[in-house]
Amino acid sequence: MAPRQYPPFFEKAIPIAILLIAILALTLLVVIGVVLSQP
Amino acid sequence: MNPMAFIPLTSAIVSFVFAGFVLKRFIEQHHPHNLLWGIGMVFYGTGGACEAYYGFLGWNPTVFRLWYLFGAILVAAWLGQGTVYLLAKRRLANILMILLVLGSFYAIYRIFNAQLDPAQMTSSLHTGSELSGAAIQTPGVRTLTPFFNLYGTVTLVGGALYSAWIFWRKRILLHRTIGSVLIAVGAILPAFGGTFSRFGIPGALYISELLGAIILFLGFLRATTPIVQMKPAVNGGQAS
Repeated sequence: MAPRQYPPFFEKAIPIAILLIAILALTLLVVIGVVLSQP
Repeated sequence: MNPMAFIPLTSAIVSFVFAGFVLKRFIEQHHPHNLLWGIGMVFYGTGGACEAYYGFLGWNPTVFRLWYLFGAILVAAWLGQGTVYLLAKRRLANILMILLVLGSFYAIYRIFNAQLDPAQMTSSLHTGSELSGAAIQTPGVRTLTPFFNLYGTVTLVGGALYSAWIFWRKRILLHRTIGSVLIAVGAILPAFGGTFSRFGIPGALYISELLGAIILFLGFLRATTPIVQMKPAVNGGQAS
């Protein structure tokens, strides 16, 4: 039985979107960290 | 009157409608994550309504305190707590809920006892066109915000991305995968807007909040509405 697949667009778009948002979130956390470390 | 005030007014309307959808779901299904998301979106709407009040009618210290409490401090953390109830073990979620409630009461106490100076919102960094935490003069109050937002960002964005990743790996429930990605985008937008606002970029906060509310709402609707599969037609496509 063939493995389940999403439609081709979502097969590629979803992992890229997850990766991009994760990078943005990590950037934001670094910025929050910088704000927190300010006196 | 500042015409920019229509942006947070729209955010507030979208947020309250969204809150109504989620709370209706809570009444039907009794899942705590829906209750917390509903409360979180009421906070989101309250923040927008306070921003609109400031734009239309001007400075009011109580409105400012409500804005800072609900819009700047509590909203992300309470929305994120909903995701904690969805994904984490109930015992852990309950412990974090107790800490969040205690932290929220502490925030209420600090904000309603803080000294305010609205003139600081029109300093060189801030134009005064939108509300800013710069008006708070008592030391230590603004320091609370990043802790709550750190918790909110990690749980809400992290939880949505984790859900999307799990669904994608198993190739199941495409509607929830798309919805989770949209929720992650919608959650991260106001967090960025708030950070830009802190560095004095005008307009960033209100626009990011509006986009965030709309995308969160779309994400919720997508995640809770299964995609109807088109079945191949029988007998050469003739309708029966």
